[in-house]
Amino acid sequence: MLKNIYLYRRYVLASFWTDLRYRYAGTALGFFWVILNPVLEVIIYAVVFSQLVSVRSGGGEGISYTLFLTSGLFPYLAFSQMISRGSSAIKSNALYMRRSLVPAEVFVFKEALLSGFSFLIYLILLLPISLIAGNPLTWRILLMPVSAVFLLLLGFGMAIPLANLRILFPDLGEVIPVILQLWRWTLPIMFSDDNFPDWLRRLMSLNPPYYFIRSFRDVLIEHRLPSFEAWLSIGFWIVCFLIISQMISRQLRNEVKDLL
Amino acid sequence: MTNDVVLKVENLSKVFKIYPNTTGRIKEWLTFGKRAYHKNFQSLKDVSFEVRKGGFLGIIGPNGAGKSTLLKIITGVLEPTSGSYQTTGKVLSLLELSGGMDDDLSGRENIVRSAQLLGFPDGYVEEKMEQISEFAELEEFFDQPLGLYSSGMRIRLAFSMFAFLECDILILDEVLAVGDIFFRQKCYARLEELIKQNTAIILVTHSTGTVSQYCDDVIVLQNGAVSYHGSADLAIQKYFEIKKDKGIKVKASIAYMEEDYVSSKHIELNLAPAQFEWPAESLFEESALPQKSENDQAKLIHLLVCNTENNPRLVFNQGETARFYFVYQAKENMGVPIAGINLLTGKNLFIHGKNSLQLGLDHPLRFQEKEFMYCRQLMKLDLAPGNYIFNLNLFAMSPLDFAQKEKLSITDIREKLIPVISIKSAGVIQVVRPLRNHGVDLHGGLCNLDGEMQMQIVGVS
Repeated sequence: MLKNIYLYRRYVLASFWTDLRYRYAGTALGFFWVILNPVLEVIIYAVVFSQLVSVRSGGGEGISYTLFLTSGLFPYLAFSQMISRGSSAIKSNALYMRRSLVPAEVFVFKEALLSGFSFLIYLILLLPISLIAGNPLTWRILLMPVSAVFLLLLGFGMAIPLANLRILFPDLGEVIPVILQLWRWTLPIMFSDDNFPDWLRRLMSLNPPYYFIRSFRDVLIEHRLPSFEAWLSIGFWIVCFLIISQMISRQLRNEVKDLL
Repeated sequence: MTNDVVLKVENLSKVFKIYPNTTGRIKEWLTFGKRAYHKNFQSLKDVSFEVRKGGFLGIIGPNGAGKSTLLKIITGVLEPTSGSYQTTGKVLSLLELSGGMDDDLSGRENIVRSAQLLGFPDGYVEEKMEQISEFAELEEFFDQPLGLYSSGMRIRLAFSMFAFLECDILILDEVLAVGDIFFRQKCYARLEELIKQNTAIILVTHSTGTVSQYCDDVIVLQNGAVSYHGSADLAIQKYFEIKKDKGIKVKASIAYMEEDYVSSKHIELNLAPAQFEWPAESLFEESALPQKSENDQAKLIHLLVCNTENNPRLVFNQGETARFYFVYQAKENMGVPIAGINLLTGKNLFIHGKNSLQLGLDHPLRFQEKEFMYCRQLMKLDLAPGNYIFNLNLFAMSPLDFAQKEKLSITDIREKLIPVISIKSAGVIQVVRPLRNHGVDLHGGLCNLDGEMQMQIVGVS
């Protein structure tokens, strides 16, 4: 699978650049569109959670809540972009797949690169927010790109089986966005789980993206490295999903091609 | 595998699973495939063949015969269900290319991109860019985004690129059917060059003309199986038979609808004309009659087109002689029967017609009810390649007028000819360029007129 991506690396890069160029440079406001959606979402959540509804989110008030929120929400948005676009990569590239030898994972990988690009912009956005919130930046923020790569790898590993299954079961196309919407509430993004009972925290940490999302907050706000347990979980889920995607795409490859 | 075989396909089969609905697939997975919830659709059945270096294989067959599936398997897009294929060297498929093109990129960028996708090293295609651009004749469009291209221009671009990428097997899928005739002609010229360079070409097409002209080896696919493999001539014959069986109308000939044909009850004729050659009675049984072959005055009961060996044919080489055999039965008494054939192009241009009067035959003086009249008309098809429709006409003339025909003016004679029956679109024949004729065309235009020419250069002093 990874070998295929390496084989088609030039194509992946070239089409990544063209996509970027035409997706954003072709529009009047360009890159503004990339950040508009997340910024709006942040504003809504920040207003609702820290001003209107005074729930104890555990993430602080006002600007410090905004920082708390963005440090979790931005990675999640990039992750969910990866899943939603990656899982439809085969379907939207069916025209190419039907006639060419390009393996499916190449298209999913291209989506990973594009999500990575959004991720990069989000991470850059985090810096001024952090400064405004009066949160000092330490060398540990250099770990954020590493965490980002890990999170995208997880998303990639999940998107490949989904992309294949979506061809066989078109209903998945409707189901995935719903799941992505609900999924964020099972993760400590809008709220902190620090004050949750221990058993609930344990349960939540079984959620694959849990430690990935946490790691951003650890290095940015808590100024500490993720725990050993976190690294273990991150490594485990990445390996796990890459193996699953390898197995599923090998198993379903021919059936998927026949159906395209 | 001997050295010059570049593609060897053995017992290739492809079965598609068709699920009536998605839940069927889930149920099947849940039972671990013990219960089948799908139907099988066999797209290819036990197909075997070989292609050698510099070979030109044509694949023809009706829609849904499995041609595209076969190509996709050879290209590697689909996996065969059983059987195997081996290729030597690089396989390029034009099927593949038009899929990998990006509307946002210019023609030039697309070529670079496609070459990358096809695994050519960096810089390879850039070297050939001049040639490609020149061949494609897209002028300023070459550097415009593909979104602005017409479909014909896309094909131009795709073909031009393929024509200059080195490969051992080139697969073409019906692409050359589009585009203007000048470009098409250039494409075929280029294909011949490629063949000389030992590239093997596989062409899937509906154009029987192309097949007979270029392919030295032709496969006719029918319902996924090879129904004929061999020379182009017989393959085309077979292909038409399949089309006829299926009741599909022959594409290029608008006026000739298969639906119009009924295999009307064959009338056994025990007598045969003694004065001229007549093909075996059994051959007529096979051939269908046009539907409107009867009116209240006369009836066409036999019709057959043969080559000079009296083998039934619908496809002829340029300059070959077609023999039309037909039998009329009179339904009432009439005077001197005058029969003839008119030849028209697919666009209804009347190109030639001759009847027995013009041919100066010794006519019988009467044609009486229930009598049969045997006719055999020869026509040398000195025509441009294409499809031609023929009409059968029967007139009658009073014996009196007939006797003094020499004295009558042309207009008078026309008036004296009483139409008995006219069978429009009695059939279609196809004229093709003789096999492997690499030299100049036999002639330009529609007809080959007999003639000669002299030439001499005379000095000034």
